[in-house]
Amino acid sequence: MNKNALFYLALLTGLLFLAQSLLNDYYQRVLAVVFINIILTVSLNLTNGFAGDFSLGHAAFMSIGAYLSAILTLPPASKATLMPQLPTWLGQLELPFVVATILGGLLAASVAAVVGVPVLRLRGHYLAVATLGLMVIVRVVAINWTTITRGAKGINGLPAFTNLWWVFGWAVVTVYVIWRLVNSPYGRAMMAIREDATAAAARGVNVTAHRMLAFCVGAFFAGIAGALWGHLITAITPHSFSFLITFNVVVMLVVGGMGSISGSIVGATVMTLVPEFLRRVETSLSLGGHPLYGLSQIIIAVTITLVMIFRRRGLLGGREVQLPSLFDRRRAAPRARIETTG
Amino acid sequence: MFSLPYVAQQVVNGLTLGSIYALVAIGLTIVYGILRLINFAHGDLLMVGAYLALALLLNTALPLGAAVLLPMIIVGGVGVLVERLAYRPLRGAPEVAMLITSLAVSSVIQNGTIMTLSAQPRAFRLPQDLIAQNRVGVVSFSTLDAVSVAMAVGLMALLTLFVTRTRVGIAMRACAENLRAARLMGININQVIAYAFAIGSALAAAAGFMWAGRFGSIEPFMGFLPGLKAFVAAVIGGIGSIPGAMLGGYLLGFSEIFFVGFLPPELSGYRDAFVFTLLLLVLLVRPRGLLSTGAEREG
Amino acid sequence: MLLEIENLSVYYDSIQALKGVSLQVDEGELVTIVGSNGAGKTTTLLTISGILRPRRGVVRFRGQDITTLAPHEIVRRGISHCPEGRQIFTGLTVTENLWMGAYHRQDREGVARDLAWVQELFPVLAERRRQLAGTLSGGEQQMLAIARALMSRPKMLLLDEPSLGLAPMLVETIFEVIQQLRAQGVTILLVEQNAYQALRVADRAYVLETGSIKLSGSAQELARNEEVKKAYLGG
Ligand SMILES: Nc1ncnc2c1ncn2[C@@H]1O[C@H](COP(=O)(O)OP(=O)(O)OP(=O)(O)O)[C@@H](O)[C@H]1O
Ligand SMILES: [Mg+2]
Repeated sequence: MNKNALFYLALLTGLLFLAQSLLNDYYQRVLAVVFINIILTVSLNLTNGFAGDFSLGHAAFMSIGAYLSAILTLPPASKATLMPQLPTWLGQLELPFVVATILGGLLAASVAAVVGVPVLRLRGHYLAVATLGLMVIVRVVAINWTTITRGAKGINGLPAFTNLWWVFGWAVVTVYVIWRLVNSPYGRAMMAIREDATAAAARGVNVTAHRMLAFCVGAFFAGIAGALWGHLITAITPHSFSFLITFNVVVMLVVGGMGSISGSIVGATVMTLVPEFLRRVETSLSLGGHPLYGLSQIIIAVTITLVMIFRRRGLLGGREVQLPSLFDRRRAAPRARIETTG
Repeated sequence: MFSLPYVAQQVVNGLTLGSIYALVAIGLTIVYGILRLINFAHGDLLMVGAYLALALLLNTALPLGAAVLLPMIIVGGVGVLVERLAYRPLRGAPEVAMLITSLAVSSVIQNGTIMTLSAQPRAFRLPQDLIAQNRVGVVSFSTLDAVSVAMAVGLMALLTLFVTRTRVGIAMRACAENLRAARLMGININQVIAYAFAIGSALAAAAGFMWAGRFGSIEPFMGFLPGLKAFVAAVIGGIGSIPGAMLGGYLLGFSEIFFVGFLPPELSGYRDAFVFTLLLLVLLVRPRGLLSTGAEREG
Repeated sequence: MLLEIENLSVYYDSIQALKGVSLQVDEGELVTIVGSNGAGKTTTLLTISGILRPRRGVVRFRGQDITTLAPHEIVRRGISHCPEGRQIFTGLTVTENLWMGAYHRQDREGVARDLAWVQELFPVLAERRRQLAGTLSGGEQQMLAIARALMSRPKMLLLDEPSLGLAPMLVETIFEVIQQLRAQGVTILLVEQNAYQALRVADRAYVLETGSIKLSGSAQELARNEEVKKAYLGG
């Protein structure tokens, strides 16, 4: 990391201290959701934006991460009452939050690796449906594997471990890892595959391996986000991670512009705050006594359609924004720039 | 082991469910064939059809046939409108752009329904004589089942006539095979695409009636699963192929019923997972489906 | 002038494929464009047909600007395009393919008459009429592609490398048919790599090289031109 990045990191950390002391609970929660959505969007960007595989599997991977981490962090006493049929070793296990989160991410990545074998033989639309199918499979398993998941009732009373620092920390890790990956030879290979898989293969790029790498890393961070989300809301059910979540992450990604990390950060922030605001308006709105629930989602959906028609590359046009460089101008500037034709 | 009546009963169930999947899959496959678009909003048109049918049943004294036919016509029109407003401006755009737009359209339709009618499920009650069980020999089935299967078969026969005997129908097959050549021949592809959306959406509305009648209640998200499963059916049959969609629909209907009917009951909760595992398996061994066409020429 | 192209520039994204091409075809003429691979011949024809949009330049047909018309409107005005690589509808029967060629026509009798006409031109198509087009041999497919293009009763026919990949015997047949069509009054713009044959049957010719017209003149003149001989006639 260069000085510049460290400076901004320090600045953000400072702001976060301020936020923590100034904002009320509601705004702190909204801010936490913003960071979780940044993790989700940036990680989805790796598969969908950089590697060019349109996955809709993020809700599934979140769900996996959330469930596993929940089972691992719940104190044995609660587990004994909530899930009496749990295998003893699992019932007695209580892991630190960070370990549980990482294991949740790893399990999501392993599932991605297994499912990736058939799914990554497909492209575009097929992949989209197959990954949605994965979401249905995960949900069905969560509903039916009652000894572990408590079925449709879900698990509640998760320790409320998630705070601003955790989500901020993980968001920084996500952005850093994916930024490094994208700017490494692996990332360049992914982009070559996105532009033209046949040509990339002809140049000796191992297409399947790179697509798999993107898919698994994306799934890992989705699992992390799921774990964070679970310990923020403190209750999870098989329906917590629905198609709506996937859709909203896709919206954030597309609004920010596929193939741009800074775009994902902007997209996730804007498309978390705006709908949150709209939802508050919506609950107070009515048309002749008829409440207008759903209006905010409609506005989001119409927005995304208009973005697709008029500004297909998203707000930032698939480029990276550069924060003003304060130290060491020459070296910092060109590194993060990623041009795409997505 | 399983008795003959039991097996026969499962066959009837498979046939009804398969008919629904086949009807929905046809709409997906004809649109995909021409535009390379997975219309994620297709299942939602099924939902709209079911709501319209319910509205007609509750509020009018129209005969039952009208409660099926009118929604088909209206939803057919809605399909054309959606194409005109959301998909046509994206002609020539990357596939992903259309795919994302169809997700958005799906969201608009669902939330529009929530906004105007609330998210509460509603009972979908059909007249008694339709749900009454009939016994023929060893199997029993409701009149609705019989009507559904007959209607599906009839509609599919009509569709087959349409795509083999009419100018626009043949052009539809031509477009699915080679859009550029079709344009060079002077085929107005926008017109053909409008037909494809009208037909596909109308069939989805018919399926919506059957689905709602079968499960007895409707809600704004009801289209998601049948839409997704119908896509599986279309893929199994070979996406882009109309006979493939029919075959895939029935294969999926039968497999699902047999999975529930002949495997240990503890597993029956996993039926939806089974469907998508089946999809993954099919894609693994035969990525282009059973009756594949040239539809995947770009790979 | 039946067809006039003025200063046409066409791009594929940022790659310029045509750099200000101008050419004319008069009523009843058989004009050929020769040029090597990637010269822009197909691009020219696709732009005339409205599949590609030029960034600059005009296409006029019978005095009217057709540059921005949709392909089906262009067909309706009398230009028919037999594309490179045949592109017949393999999943349709031979007759269905022919009907697609007459898609916009409302006159049933006229269509029936033209069906008989193209079957007379290519008798094999009558024999195979119920067969799926994908089961035809390469030569038969090329005949079907030409016949299909004729079904719209065009005033002008665009032919893109009709002899490509055919056995010498079949090449002869195809060129005979081209001459026959011309005798029947169809105006033809023929794109060929087989410059020898093309210059033999054509009235006039254009030589296209990397997106620009390099030479033009009567076919006989060009066939005697040293440069053309060297580049396209094998010495
Ligand atoms: N779809 C496309 N995308 C990008 N470039 C293209 C595309 N089609 C053609 N080109 C380029 O445009 C130029 C002209 O191509 P065109 O197909 O018109 O040549 P041609 O004269 O018909 O060649 P051939 O004799 O091989 O058919 C070539 O350099 C080609 O590489
Ligand atoms: Mg060519």
